[in-house]
Amino acid sequence: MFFEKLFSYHEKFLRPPGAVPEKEFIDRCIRCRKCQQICPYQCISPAGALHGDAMGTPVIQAREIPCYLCMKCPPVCPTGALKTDIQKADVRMGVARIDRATCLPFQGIICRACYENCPIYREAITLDQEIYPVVHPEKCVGCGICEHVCPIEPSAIVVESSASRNED
Amino acid sequence: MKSWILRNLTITRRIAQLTILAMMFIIPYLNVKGFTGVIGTFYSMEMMGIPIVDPALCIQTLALMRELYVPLLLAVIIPLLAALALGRIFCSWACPFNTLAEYAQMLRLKLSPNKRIQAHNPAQIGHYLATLCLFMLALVFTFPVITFLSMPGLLTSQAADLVFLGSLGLELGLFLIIILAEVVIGSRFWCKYACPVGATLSVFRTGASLKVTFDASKCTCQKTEIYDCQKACPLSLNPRKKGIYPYCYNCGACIDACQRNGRALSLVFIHQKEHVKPLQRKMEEVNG
Repeated sequence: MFFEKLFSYHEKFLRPPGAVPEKEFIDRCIRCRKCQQICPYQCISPAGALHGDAMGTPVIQAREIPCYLCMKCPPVCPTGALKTDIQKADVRMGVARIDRATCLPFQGIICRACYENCPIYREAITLDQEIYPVVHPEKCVGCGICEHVCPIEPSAIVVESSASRNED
Repeated sequence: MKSWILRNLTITRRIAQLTILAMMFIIPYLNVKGFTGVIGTFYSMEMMGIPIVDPALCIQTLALMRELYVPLLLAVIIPLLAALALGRIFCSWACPFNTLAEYAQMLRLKLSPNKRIQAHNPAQIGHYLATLCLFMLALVFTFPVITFLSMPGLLTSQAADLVFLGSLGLELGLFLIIILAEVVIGSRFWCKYACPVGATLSVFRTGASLKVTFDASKCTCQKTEIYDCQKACPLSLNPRKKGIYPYCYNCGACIDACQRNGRALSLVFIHQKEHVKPLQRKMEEVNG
């Protein structure tokens, strides 16, 4: 479609918990900012006008403020862009990926920041040989707390959003 | 109290409009401080747990998704009941775009008082045409275009963004272009012909909704080029003639102007004459 070509941004935004697939999300979301305003951590901000048709939609910048999975935003969504009945463990905002080239334990420095802070504790991130962090995609909710707490710059663990318009 | 409001409609309305302009900033500020009793923008709000959604956006979402999403349908009950009873009162009493456009137009008339446009009531279809096209556009391109063209939503969300993030979006440019065009052309074309929010509310006006009526027998004005009521109308309609709807948004400015004259204009739910006539006829029959 014309508009899809015009706004073929290949950005993969990290959406709030419970978000429907990206293409549907763009149509459903009415940019009302309620999820942003209910968030006690202020982790949600609207996408800018340069993002084309995604303008005004809620985005989480996990490195700055991650989602703490308080689950206050899905119930306030009036249009069902965020599914209201979602449970914390069923959230799939994205999957964390570790860059072994920069991740401290792989360089011989002990660090357990992501492992210790993961809200799906000892399930989404485990330690291989008690040293090397491993992400389990089937358990990872994509909240981005690991990305937020990673002590190196840029973060060695980054959440790759599951919101993609090109997959289907 | 009620009669004071009816005698001072414009003052009351200005207080309401300015309160809403202030609330656009105060409520997001309270949200940042942790208060979440009232959240949202004029796209959708939530007051003490009761959700309210703009009917235009509800129709757009239902059309785009082809799904009857019940929470969304429940959330338009309050605005629809308000529109059924009171007409487009949201536009005249609450919409921040209308408030700013009214002040811009007043400023323009102060600067060049001779450039007043002729009061007249355009054909009904003009009010709906642009909105129909927008809904078609949204469906054809599966693109939520109404969302981006809702001025009350745009202004309230930009005000919230300013408070939350300390920055404004480029969307505000659209508002500036529209209001500038209105001032240059001298016509309130957005609220009359273009706004999808207002046009959707107009659809739900019925014969029993609040309306302005003109009783020619009470009018005490001298025959002039432009009557006080016409001069007062912010949308330059002619309340002395029929056909002010669906353009009229029941602001009451003409009624306020008429208070100083013969009180020929009034806000009523049902035309009183229609009620009185059969009764009078009966009385005449009994007397005769």
